[in-house]
Amino acid sequence: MTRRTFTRSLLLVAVAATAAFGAAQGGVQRTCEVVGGTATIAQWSEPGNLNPLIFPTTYDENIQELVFARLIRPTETLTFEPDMAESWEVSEDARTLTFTLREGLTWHDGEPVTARDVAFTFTAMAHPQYPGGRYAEISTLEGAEAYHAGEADAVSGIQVIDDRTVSFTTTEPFAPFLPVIGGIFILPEHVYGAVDVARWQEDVTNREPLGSGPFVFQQWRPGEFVEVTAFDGYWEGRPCLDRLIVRFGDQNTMLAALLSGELDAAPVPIDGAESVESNPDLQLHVVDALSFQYIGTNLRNPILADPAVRQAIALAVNRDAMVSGLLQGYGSTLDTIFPTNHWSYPPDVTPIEYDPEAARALLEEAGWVQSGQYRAKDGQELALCLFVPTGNQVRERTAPIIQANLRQVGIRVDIESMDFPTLVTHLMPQDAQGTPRAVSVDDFDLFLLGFGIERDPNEYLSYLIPSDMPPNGFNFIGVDIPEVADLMLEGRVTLDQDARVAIYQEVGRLMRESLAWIPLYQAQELYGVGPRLQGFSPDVRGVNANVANWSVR
Amino acid sequence: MTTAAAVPSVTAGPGPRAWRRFRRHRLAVTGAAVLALMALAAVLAPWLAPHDPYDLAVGPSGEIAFAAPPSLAFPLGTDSVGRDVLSRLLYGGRVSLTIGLVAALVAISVGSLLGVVAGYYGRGVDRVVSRFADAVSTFPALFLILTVSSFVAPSIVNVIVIIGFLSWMPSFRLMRAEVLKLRETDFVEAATAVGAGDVRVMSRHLVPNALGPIVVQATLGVAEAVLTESALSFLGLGVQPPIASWGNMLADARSITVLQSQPWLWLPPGVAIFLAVLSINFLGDGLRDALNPRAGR
Amino acid sequence: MLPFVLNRVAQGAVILVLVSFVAFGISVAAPGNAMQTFIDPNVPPEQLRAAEARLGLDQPFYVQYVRWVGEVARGNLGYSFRTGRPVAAFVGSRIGPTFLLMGTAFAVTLVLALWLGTATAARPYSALDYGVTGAAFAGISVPSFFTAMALIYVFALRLGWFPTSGLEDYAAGHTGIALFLDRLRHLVLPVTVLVLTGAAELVRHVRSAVLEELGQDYVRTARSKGVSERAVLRRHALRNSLLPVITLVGVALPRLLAGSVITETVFTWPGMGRLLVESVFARDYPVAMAINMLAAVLVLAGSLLADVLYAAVDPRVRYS
Repeated sequence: MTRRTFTRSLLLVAVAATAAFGAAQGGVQRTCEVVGGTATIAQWSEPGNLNPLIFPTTYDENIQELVFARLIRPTETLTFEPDMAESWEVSEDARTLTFTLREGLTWHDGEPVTARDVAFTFTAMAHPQYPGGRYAEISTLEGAEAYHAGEADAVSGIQVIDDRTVSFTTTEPFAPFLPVIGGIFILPEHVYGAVDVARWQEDVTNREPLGSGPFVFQQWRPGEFVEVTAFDGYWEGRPCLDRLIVRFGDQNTMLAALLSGELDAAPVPIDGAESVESNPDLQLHVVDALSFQYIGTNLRNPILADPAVRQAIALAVNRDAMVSGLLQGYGSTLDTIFPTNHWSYPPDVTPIEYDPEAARALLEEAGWVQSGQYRAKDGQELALCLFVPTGNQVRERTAPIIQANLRQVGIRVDIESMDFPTLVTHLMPQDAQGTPRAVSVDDFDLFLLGFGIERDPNEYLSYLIPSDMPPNGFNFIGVDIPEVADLMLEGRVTLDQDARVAIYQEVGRLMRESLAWIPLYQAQELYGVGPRLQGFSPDVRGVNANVANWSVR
Repeated sequence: MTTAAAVPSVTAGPGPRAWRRFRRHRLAVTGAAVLALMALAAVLAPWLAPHDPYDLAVGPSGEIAFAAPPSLAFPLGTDSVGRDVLSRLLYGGRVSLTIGLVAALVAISVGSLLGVVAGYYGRGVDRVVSRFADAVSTFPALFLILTVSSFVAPSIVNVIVIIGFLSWMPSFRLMRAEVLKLRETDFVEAATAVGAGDVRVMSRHLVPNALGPIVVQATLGVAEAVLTESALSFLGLGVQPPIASWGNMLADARSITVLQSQPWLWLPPGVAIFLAVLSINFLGDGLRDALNPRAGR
Repeated sequence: MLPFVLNRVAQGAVILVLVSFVAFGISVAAPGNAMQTFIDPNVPPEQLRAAEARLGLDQPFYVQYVRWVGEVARGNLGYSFRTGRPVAAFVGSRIGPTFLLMGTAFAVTLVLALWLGTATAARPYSALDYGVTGAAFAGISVPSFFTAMALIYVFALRLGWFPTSGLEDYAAGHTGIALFLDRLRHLVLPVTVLVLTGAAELVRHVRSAVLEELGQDYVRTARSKGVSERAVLRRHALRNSLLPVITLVGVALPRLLAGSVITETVFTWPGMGRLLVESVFARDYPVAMAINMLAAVLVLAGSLLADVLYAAVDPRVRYS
């Protein structure tokens, strides 16, 4: 392993990211402050699977993106830029996407990357025995259904044209297809193809991944850490670090480890921000995220089916206090179901103001009159149960605030805390035989939950269209607004970005009027960085946004 | 209140000599006094608490005082959500002390009963009961807690039942060991010889003589139940908010920043648990010295 | 003695089967399953259901149980739902760290308890007695998660004497004697937590047991025959007072295992306790079952050991 000497030039750092794309393999130079050394960072949970096609979670992907690369990858502004592909073309009928791979790409074991690896990866997701749950993402490919049903030998919509060219054809124009491709890590056929797809999760390749990304997997000690080392043949140039260690552990302990200098960087829980800021050695990075928290309502409940009640709840909850108090200002409120920093968020949406007086008036008008501490109508008390999933401390703390706020306007709220799988059994209920069934009035009233856009607002589809109410999909709330459903289906097939912006922003405005989801707040993500680590700059894409440029002093 | 009442009733058997011995144990007397005060404060919480334990400290323009340091209106400050810490401490005491007492009572009742039966009858009975105790000892408590709390709404009663029925084994083992030891002694043989029935031998001769270690075990049990509740809270499986318990108040305050700069969040529940558990243990220690007639000086 | 031990082992096997049945029932009955913890807009419910079917989660409890027992009987503990790891190797890799932690804590606790218990019993109500009693009680009077946080704050953050967490300094990649010393440094704080929260009970029991023996006639006889106080303590009182202490040692094992859940979680120690918590929350019951069964075996073994020692120490108890 030879270490190249890199000239120090701040300008080049900025240029490298864009200029590199045209450059052929070997011509890429990375500017590093220092080359070599080991950085140790942390995350709050251990990854489960390192095969990126097996039910990936954020904690899995944070490790996978060190080892693997994609055809295209998201930019900071959430468009897409070339990764393993140097370019792509869209056919005139908008159904075919053709990708050309960079020249000279290799896997970590030295084998060349070819278009067949790409075809293998996408085909595997449609395999009848594929166990990873991501088939739906590529089910719009021509012939995917037949192959998935075992009626064909290959997916006809995936074509290898030559060693460096591969094309994908969908059955109809499918707008989110680029974001889908931007989320799939490419696997080497000569490694993963040697394993029966049905055994992918159990196979050793799920724990010892091999890809073509910036770092080579070295070891994973369960309960402790994952270790990766720089890949000399990475198309964008060898990463500056020699070695990166990612530990996993309790958030408070990891914060302590950061403060004591055992870690070079770690995520920081919000109530730890002060400790990081008051430490002269550490720097706090604040990053916008694409996720937010909301109160879900069961629209089958006659109390909640009344829009006036939902609106009263929204007006009575002091969301600004949550942001200033619980988030300590690291976040913002939002007024509809899309994150404020995503293009789908309508800038002109009617703000939800904190106005308990107006809430009282609305309830009064809807026939709910104060009787004692709470309101009642026709002898029925205005009482709702709020399900609170544990595990997110800030979210858990919003529950008593919601309870106290709603009590002030005469709504009784009983809080029930439960872990996430238990909440799911209420939102996606099953009958006594364990068969999934439709949601009823009794399954839940209100619940707290988060939602995050990974790449495209089409991800909301199953949450918003009436045909996808459980057991068919994730519309547990019971949203049934024809305009919203039409727009969501239109967004799938509309390719023009401006038109899509208009479509989803209109969905945002409609959902603001409906308040079936009562949006609460959008928290920022905090990271603390120690004095050794240089170039650490996480962004909306996550902690590893520019990991190849990190270096240690 | 309950503990104060428990002292004379337990000492009533062995008589005034035990009471005299107990009074000489200064730590135990202090412990009993502290506990009595804590119990009283918990009972009188509705009258003592300056605020509703679930109410947020809301200012004139609707702003919430999150984690505010102690002030005149909030003598122990407000918690992370803006509720009065003192009021929650008082109400939390009700919950934590109730859990401790009742769970320990359940545990020693079950444990002693099975221990006496197993030790006295020996052979098959002993074997069955002992293996049952072994089986329960090996039981995955965490699973049981998770499951029960999903079938029934997670509640104080469930936490009590779970802790109680999963911690009777030490008293069982102690009682059984004591009874095994005593069974062969002269006075039990004498009692049997004069025709005393099983129940009479057990209740008049075996249980009172084994009471010393069991009382120690019981007090440890109260303390342990209080601690177990807090451990469950740490894992998110204890008494669920918004109900306050000392355990979940302390668990909510586990953060480096809080430890460093917001002592009013962890000190009150921490000190309350510390004092309560310490007092209970001192009390038990004193009771042991007082009740065990053979413990020489 | 041997027939007694064999008999107990056979009984233990029956208990294990019983425990496995109940534990399995409870874990399957727990709300939600491994797949339902995975809600992702990109994974429609029918995909989740297919995955459930693949793992057999759609089968009734008894079918799942019989299948599990069948596999276990053939020496196959199955695969983790969450990670796909073979359970035997997965749990196996966690035994070492847990034993290291528990063993060290147990040894320190035992030595401390015998030493301090005898010393305080020799001079009851002395300054030493009060000091030790106070310290021991103070140790158990704080929830262990808080003790752990406080120790991390004081000794790792403020003073910087010990590392906050983990098994070793991963970046340094120590080997040999340096690795041993590094691990020792990492052991100090978690062991301290376990000792602080576990020693008091043993200290008190040794003290009261020794105290009780000191009041016995034979001790008075020994003293009157001019046996030294030291010998009285060591040879007579301590030996006889080991009896009730031994029953406690049998109990100490499950308690240490339980304590390791919290301690391992706070110190991110890669042991079984932490894995159990993670598995329960992820509804990964092949892993959770394996840990529970392993714990059950350990506890049964501990209880058997206690009984055997009991018989060895107390001549009045004989097993036929």
